[in-house]
Amino acid sequence: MGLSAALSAAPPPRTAPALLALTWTAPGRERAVLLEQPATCLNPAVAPAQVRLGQALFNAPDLFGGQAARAALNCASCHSNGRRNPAFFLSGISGEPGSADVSSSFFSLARTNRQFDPVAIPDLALPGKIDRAPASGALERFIRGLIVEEFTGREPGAGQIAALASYVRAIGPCPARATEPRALSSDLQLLNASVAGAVTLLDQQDPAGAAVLIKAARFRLGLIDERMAGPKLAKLRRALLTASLGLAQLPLQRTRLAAWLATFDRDVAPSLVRSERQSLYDPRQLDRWLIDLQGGKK
Amino acid sequence: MPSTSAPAYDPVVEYRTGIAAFEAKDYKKAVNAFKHVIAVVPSHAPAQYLLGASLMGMADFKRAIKPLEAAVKADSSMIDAQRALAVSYARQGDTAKATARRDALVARKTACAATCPAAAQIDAAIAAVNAALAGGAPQALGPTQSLRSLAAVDVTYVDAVSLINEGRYEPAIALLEAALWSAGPHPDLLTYLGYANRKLGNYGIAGSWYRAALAVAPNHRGALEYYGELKLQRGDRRGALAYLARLEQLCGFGCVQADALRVQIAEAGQSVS
Repeated sequence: MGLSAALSAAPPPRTAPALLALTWTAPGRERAVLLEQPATCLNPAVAPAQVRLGQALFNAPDLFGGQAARAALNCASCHSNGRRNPAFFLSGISGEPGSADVSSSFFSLARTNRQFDPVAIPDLALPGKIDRAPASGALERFIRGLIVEEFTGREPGAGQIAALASYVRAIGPCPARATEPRALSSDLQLLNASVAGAVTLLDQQDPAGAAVLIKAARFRLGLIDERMAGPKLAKLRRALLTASLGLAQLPLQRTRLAAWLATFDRDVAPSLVRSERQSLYDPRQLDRWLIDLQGGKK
Repeated sequence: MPSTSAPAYDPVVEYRTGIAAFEAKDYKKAVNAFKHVIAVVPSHAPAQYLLGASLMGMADFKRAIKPLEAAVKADSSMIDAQRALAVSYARQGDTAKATARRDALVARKTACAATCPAAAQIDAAIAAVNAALAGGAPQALGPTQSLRSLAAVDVTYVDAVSLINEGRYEPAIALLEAALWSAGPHPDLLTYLGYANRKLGNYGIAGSWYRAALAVAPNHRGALEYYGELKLQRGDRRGALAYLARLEQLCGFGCVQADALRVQIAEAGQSVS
């Protein structure tokens, strides 16, 4: 699909509803992208709480600004589950699937070279050109540059940068498997990490960072909503919308956020889990939906 | 209040149907499709022109005149439409109007001198009008503009938005207008035509592009945000708030467009609540 579709976030009338991830997915790779992600085994030696906060920020669209934010792109769009999205494709930005021109004026003027020169998206589980040793601070500087210069995001707090660096340092391949399911549990885990991360950032006196993660939590609820398609799941979609609007109206206070999460886990999450097989997280349901999306052609 | 009702037809789909039919010389089908487009976006000059050209393909010069006049009104620089309109006038026996149109083309050629990029196109248009005035058979009167593939449209779109980010609004407008030929009235293209014109201070033109975008896609978040910003810029805070309310209704899971418009309204000096 194309970037223009991504930016509008509102498809033209009477086209089949699309899942957001398809906006930056190469044609023919839809099923794989929606059902699977690269397997990631996190290094337990890196502080788990920091890693969890970093993972939440890694999946937060509001970390970026400009056109990236308008397209709801986040770090994980290119680095699926912290690794590499081989199916990433945006017309005008990508060459081959799995590549992106990050020096395009489309995203930022700070690093533009006015040339179409897409590069392969790196796998963050593999050693890269940036020194990851905590003592050097090179990874922290690199991440800050990505957010602020490459994708015109607001200046992140030091705690956000530290958490993102911890997450990237913890990302590793899994010896026994190449991929893992992209299931409801993945989205619920990220939702949980986003709200918990907002509480952590509030404790660190970073309300702007907390706001980024509250928006990320609402964004995650929206992604779950997309998968709960069809008239049978309308009640669940209403519950998700109510939860999102409730979260938006909450004051940024530790106790209120914790209470919201507890209520969601008690009242909404179990129903979602029970309905997963009826939703587009289920391979058979998704296959039917993809056939409809492609005009009924198998 | 912003409209929330979707048009009866998807004008982007209808435009592509019209193009395919036109290229297959199925002019009846093309006429039908282009009529559906202009019913939603009457300001889309390529669709008006192609409707007129399709009617000419059916030798219905009388009915071709109205959409061709609309095309020229919407885009006075469109040589194809001026040529087709002059030929239609001539075929209907209105020599005075045909001659006036031809003379306008001659004046344009003189103004841009022989070396301007459109010189050959203008020469061909003048020759076609002269042939029609002399009573000759109609020549091929299809678009000289390339109707590029959809993939190329996406690239054009990225290039245009990149130019906008660089503050180069006029070349961005030229690219987006060119893309309207192949993409039809795509709401993203219309929205950024509005945006670029707004940045140049062409508020009236910007408003008409935003309205066109919202006619095609009433829930288009970018168009709602930017039209709200235009309202604010022109002192219509109430109008901006109406567009913000619409965005908040659409963005139950949050969206950057509502956030941005909310900030703009707040920065304009008054509380949004």
